[in-house]
Amino acid sequence: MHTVIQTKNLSKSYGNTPVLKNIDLTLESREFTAVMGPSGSGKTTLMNVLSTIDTFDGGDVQLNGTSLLDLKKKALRQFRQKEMGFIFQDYNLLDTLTVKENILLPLSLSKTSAEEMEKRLKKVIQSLNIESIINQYPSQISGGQKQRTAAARAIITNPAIVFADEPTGALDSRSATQLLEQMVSLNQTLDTTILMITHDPYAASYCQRVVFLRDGNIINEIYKGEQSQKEFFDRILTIQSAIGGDRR
Amino acid sequence: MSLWNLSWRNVQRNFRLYSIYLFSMITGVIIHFTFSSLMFNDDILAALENKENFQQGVIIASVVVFLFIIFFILYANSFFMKQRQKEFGMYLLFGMSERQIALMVFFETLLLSIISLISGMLIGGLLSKFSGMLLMNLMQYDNVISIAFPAEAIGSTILLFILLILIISIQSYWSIGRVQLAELFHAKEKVERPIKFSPVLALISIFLLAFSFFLISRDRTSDYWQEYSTTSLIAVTIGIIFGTYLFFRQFSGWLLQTMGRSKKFHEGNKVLWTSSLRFSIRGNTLNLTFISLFSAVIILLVGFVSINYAVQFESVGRNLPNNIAFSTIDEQTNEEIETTIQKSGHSIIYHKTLTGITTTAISDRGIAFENPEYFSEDIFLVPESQYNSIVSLREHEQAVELAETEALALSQGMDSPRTFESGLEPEFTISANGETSFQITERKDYALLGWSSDPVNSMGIKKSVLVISDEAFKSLQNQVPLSSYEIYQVEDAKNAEELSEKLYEIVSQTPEAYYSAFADVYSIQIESSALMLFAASFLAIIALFALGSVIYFKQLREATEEQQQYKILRNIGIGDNEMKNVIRKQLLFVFLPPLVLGILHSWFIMKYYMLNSITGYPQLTTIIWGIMGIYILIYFLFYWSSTSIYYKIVNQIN
Repeated sequence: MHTVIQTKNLSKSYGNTPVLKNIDLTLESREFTAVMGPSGSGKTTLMNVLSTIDTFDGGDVQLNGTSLLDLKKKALRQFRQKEMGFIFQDYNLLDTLTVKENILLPLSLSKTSAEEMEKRLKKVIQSLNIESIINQYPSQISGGQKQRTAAARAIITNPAIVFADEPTGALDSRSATQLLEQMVSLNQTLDTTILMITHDPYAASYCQRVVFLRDGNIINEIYKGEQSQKEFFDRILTIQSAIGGDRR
Repeated sequence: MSLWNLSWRNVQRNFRLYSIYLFSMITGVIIHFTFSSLMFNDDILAALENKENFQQGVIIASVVVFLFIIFFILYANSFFMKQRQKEFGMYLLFGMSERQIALMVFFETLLLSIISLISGMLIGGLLSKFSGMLLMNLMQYDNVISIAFPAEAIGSTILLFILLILIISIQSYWSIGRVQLAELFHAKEKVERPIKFSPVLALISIFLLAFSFFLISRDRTSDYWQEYSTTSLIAVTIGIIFGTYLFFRQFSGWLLQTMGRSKKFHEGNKVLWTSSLRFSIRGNTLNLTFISLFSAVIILLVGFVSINYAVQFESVGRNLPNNIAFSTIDEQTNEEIETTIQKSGHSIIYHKTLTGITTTAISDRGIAFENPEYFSEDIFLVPESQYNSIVSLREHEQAVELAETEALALSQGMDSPRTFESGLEPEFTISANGETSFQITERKDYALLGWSSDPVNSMGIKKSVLVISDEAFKSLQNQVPLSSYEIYQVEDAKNAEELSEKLYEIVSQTPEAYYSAFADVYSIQIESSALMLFAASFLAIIALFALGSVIYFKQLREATEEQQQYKILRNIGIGDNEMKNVIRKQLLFVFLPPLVLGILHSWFIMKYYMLNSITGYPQLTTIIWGIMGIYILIYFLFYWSSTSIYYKIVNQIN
């Protein structure tokens, strides 16, 4: 167990509007963490900053012990390529490539050997249960399958951390449950560290830890520990309604 | 997977999206290649009278064509770049650098360009026979043109496309640099607020347009265009441009707003097709204004060159009514000329000698002749009987009857011929036997002796001719020396260039002698006006493509943005036919007004500036309607293909 991400006094504002206010957050490896909060609480901005695709104004972010402040544009890009995976609400698969090509794209672009690619592909498509569709195009598969393809693409590089932005947002409940279960299993069997943004208490209840954000501040943080999923879900609901819930 | 590979995949899989782009590129290449291959086609060059003029004209036309192609392709490319922002974002996220993405896009452009270059040149070359024949036909030559792929044409087309690829690549690189990674995550959605429309400004737009049309339709001789012509011109320009702009910005919005307030608004599908229009008015205004004004310009251009071409055949005849005419020099020269004509194979239809008095004006020549700078200083007085006999030989119904000191001024090419009422005739004094005055009863748009000409420089100036009564002539003829002109009408005068060269050599030995030959002017005029018509038609086609693309891509973008809306409509149970109906109405509201305004603008200008000042050509109105018909047809094709692709896009299941 080591620290993957650590922020100190992280703050950011758009014009005169502060979006993040002195956030101190530490993510350990192999953690599956959810960030929850109402619209405008700053959760998307937090993720953009942590994933290096947006800048911040104050404080510091350290990734695997390296301060983001020390990295240049090119180094940031390589960092992203090697150490991070992304899952988006609307999948962002490339329509022109097959499922297999989509999954392998990050490896193709970093010039990995074909042999190595096949080896890794086999492992992820097995654990995500998408072997049967790898030669199809995104337009031919269901939303749940697309999101599992996106998840496979996110973990194929063995990143230090996977950022998931409302990954179940566009899925029906059955596909959502399936995806969440697979993310849990990725987290446990492949030791993937996952940071998930969600407004759905049910999705959050699959995580080990839930961080609550409101008006750019972390206002609460709970761990699942030995609780059952049902108990954890109820606790999340209680806290969510206490902080004003999500009115999206 | 290499970059080259990725590009190839993109082109293959996105073929439908690229097809319109490719189609337009190919059209561009065909037109450009057609022009440059005509310029270097030996068959055509052999047929032409004025080769330098031709090559210059073609160069100018192909530069303009090229500018249109650049405009069109930059517009299309910027559309594709925006469409693909997310895709580029993903590449960036996976560690590709901006330069690598730009290289990938460059490969794609290269692929598309190579495809369109090869197929465009092939088609253009195969069509070169057809287009060459078309041009020859317009020029009234019947030479045979063979299929040709001149190396110069291939070279220049490739060169221009290399330039084009460079420009596109710079644009792509620039737009890739602006990709915001944060947009990949569901960032704040853009919500455009509907703007408020003012009924006052809406009315002002209609008033401005109506006022401009009113001014245009006033007679050329009215005060608006005589006394205050500069002011009127500025008023019309401003009125049309701002009226059109306000029409799209305020009037169309106000119309939607008013429709929304009506009691029957919720009946039928009005709510559906008007809703998104209200939000897109702001974004559409400039586009639609541009399209209206631009289509007016295209129609005007094509209208103008077609009129110019159609009029040319007869107008050369009006400007130079005599096949051959020259000052009588002496008996010997006359015989020499007569034998030259007989030997030439152009048999003589009639020969007439016109005898009159050459004199000078004391009054301002402007009294009798409009734009006197185009008329000779000396005045030729001709008796009515001689004038009438020539007119009857020509089979023109222009005979006159004059009494005493009445005179008729032949001011050919004037805008406003007029007859003067008795008592109001202007007086015109000439120096013959002291001073003699005549009353001008009419300024007639007719020529007895046309423009002087020579085989090299074509047209010179017109002869100032006054027709006077026989009695006045009789009283003058014994007191002043007479002078005369020989007039010949020959067979196949159109092709008498060689004959004219020989005759001109003989006549021009006498300095200051008048010489005028139909053939000197005819071929050159027809050639250049045919070239203008030919070039303008191709220009209009490529311009229409550029224009269509502006609307087309705008609609595609909107369709992509509205996928979500249509998904909801589908979910609440709206059927295919209803959806198509809504899309048709919505797009009609966008497509129709620019068409109507463009046609109105150009019709008013053509009707009152061109048609009304050219009398005696009844076929011109038909030509204008024909041009507008073709324009409407092509425009309708754009509308039709936009609705069908709009429907396809909003029904893509994501």
